[in-house]
Amino acid sequence: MSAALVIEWMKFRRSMVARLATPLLVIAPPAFSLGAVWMARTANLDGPSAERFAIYREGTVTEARMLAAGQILCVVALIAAGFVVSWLFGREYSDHTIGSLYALPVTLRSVATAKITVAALWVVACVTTALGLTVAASVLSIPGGLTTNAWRQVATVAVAANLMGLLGLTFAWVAAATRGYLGAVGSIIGVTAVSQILASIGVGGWVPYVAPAMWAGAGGAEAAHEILAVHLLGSAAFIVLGAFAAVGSFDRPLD
Amino acid sequence: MTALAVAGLRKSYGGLVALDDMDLDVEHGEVHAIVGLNGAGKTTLMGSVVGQVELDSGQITVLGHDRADCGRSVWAKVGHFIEYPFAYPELTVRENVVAAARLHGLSGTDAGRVADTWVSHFELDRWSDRQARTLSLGNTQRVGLSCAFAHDPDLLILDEPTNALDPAGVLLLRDAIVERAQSGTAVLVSSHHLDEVARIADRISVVHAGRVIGRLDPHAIDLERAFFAMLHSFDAGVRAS
Repeated sequence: MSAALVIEWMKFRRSMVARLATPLLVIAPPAFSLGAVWMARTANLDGPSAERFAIYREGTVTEARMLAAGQILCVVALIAAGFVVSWLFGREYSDHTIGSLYALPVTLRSVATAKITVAALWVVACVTTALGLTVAASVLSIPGGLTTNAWRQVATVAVAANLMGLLGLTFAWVAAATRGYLGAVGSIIGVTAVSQILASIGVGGWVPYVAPAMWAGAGGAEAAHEILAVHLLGSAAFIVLGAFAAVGSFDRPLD
Repeated sequence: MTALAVAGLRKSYGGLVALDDMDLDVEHGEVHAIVGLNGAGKTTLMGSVVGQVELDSGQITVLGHDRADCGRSVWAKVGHFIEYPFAYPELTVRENVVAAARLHGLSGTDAGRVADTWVSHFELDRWSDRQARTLSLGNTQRVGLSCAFAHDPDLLILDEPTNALDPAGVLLLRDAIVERAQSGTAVLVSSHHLDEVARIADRISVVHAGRVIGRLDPHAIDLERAFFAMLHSFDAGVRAS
């Protein structure tokens, strides 16, 4: 393993952001999906709550859990990954450690690539664990295991949530370009708000930060069917572009 | 042999000229100190050598290579500490030095060995396994210095290295600089402390208004008087022209 990767991993695993974001991403989605479906199917809900939870009464318990898991996991993965890369890149400027990374045999480009790699591996590991916990809970609690349709949903959520998490990596570019994490944090809030607005007016499929979540059912079954491969490929391309932009922006003089 | 040579460096920030036709060199085995007031251009000069500062024009040669052509093997032999230390708050003292050594191309085993050596040299043993965030400013400075020295560089660039150091730390740093220079390392060091510079420097250049305006004799009796006389003479000449 390269020195840059070893050191970035060492810094990341010691960081406060990793200690907060990891349990949030691994535990919150399974807990929400199990809790939401349990409430929808057992509690006597009235008013707006009943309407909100109605979708979790459709299909089998596992299918409903996967729907809930997909909805929450997509949002949490995007925001958590965004915060992680904001810190990974922005902290070098805020902590004034960036100056020491110049004039090394390990280039700034290699350091930035290592940061992106650490964040990407963390996203995939957390999403896989969160989804695995949700599936395990269903397999263990429901006689007969998962239906074919439920497994199909698992696969959909896995792809969608990983895409959403990896989309969070694009905020690394903002952190590197603005030389700190505050700009990136602001952009996460801004992108989340604008994405909600665009999704609500019916163009979410063409928004890279929305399409995978819609595909996983965040906008309802009808909206999910509107998402085509081209939309998901657009999101994937956006991830690649964002990662390259972040590396390029990190690799430049300070003045 | 010249380890570092800069010629005709120019850098301006809008209307503010930071480097104005700066020329300077450092020989192997030599401690070349640069002294000057705040804003004279010392840090900008050092930043331009390591690539932090993008020059408007000028030529930099590092260990015999044009700066633009310097690869891994050249940078592996350069150590620097410019303004802020290599000290990640979440890492321990030893881990920081190991990380710096590894980023300079040392293997994990060698990095551990040199980290122990330099942590010990700068008397950081008591804090070796403590996170850098818990250290005082002076000890954080010692961590940064350990990181700059750890990989036995052939060229050392130190910007105000005595900042925040207590008298004991200054002595440890002085020993380290002199020892490295005696083994052939070229040292470029900036400082505000003329007395301190006089103890270790082979050459002292006075930097003012983004250029080298003269030299001071490290063995002279009253360096401070000579320093200010040089500055006032330069400023008077500028006003007259």
